[in-house]
Amino acid sequence: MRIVGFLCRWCAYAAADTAGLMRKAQEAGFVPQLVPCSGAVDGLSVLRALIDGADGVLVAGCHLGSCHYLEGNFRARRRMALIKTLLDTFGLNPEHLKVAWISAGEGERFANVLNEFAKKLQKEQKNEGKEV
Amino acid sequence: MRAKKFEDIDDLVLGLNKLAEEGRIEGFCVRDESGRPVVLRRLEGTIFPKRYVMSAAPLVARWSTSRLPLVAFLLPCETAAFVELVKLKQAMLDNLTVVSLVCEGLAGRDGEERVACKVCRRRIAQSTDIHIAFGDGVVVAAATEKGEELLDALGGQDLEWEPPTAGTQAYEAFIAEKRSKMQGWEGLRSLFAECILCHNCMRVCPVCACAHCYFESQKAQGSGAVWEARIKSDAAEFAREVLWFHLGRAFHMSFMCVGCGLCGDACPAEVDVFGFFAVASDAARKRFAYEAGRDVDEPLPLSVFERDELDDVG
Repeated sequence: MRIVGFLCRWCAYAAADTAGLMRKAQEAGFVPQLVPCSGAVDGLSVLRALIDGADGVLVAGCHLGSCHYLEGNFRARRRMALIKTLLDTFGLNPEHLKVAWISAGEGERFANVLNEFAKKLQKEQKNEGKEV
Repeated sequence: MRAKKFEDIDDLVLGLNKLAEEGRIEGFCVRDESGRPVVLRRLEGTIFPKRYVMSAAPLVARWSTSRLPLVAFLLPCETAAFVELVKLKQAMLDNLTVVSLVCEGLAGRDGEERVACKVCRRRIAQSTDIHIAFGDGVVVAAATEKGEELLDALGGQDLEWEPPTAGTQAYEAFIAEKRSKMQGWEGLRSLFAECILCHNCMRVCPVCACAHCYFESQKAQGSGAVWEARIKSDAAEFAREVLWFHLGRAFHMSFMCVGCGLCGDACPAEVDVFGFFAVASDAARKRFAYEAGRDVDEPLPLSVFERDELDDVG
């Protein structure tokens, strides 16, 4: 299971740290990627991950309304909505992309979100982006 | 809608040229023999292209920043593209008067009617200064104050005119048919199997207008992933680059797509890029209730947000 995570520097990445400090079991195939803000995640990065065979992409940022840059995650939400729409239109499962809002203190929640996402992906059809 | 009727196109040309001599109009955007857009001081030659080979929107956008009083004769899809360029702050409406054709569909490079024109649902521009309709004489109708000003300066016989309504059945059927053909990774791969990643569809696109394109940047190309794949003839790697380019472009500007179909015409490998973009733009349009070229004041969907929306995303 390969899950690529785009984690916002101020909240979700810190939450991943917190989860580690709390010794929470997390999905082993998770590849965290630090981004300055969830609003900085271009759809191209998400598409690249899916095309290169990631089973899932997790985009996580601060809770809505508490973005460090005030409105970055609202913009991220629109972008991810467009990506999901495109994936759905072309018959690629939009469930491979998950968007979550997690604050820095919510280590336990981060681990839960990640593990549930991994569990869900196991039931879904495998991402065949890389299998030509 | 206030309109004027001319018996012949020459009467209108005469009137406009008189305004040009008086200095009220500095230039006109028309076409040369091959259908390419040009900006001339006097109105002459072909006003609208016989064959649709190139969009005039980028050229008019560049001229519009000069703020000269220009009159641009545009097709409805070009008008919509121009409106999108105004929203992208690459064009100005200050002194420009857009005259938009009530379009009946055009021929492509090969002289046959284009697929995009057959299924077009934008035969009448939604945001323009002046509509122009050919048929029994030439009808010129003003849609804005700027348009009325120009109309008042022209001769012709007064009448009331309403733009005809266009059906969308052919379009809906086209979308449904194309969409069923491009499902899943396998469907997309076979769709783009012939793509050679020449970026022609991107360059010809009137709304794909970033001055510095990410796909042409050092980061996307110079890293060598594409060229390495070509040299090694790694078909699988290359196929992924192709998918990334097209899906990425769909993400960047599908909601701005005006359905002109030039991307499909420009493709040397005859990939159905237009079909792909029509399907993508239809989905994006419905998701954000946004219509490209509908209104200059309507913001681009990715440039604004609401606090309470899209609860299903995250």
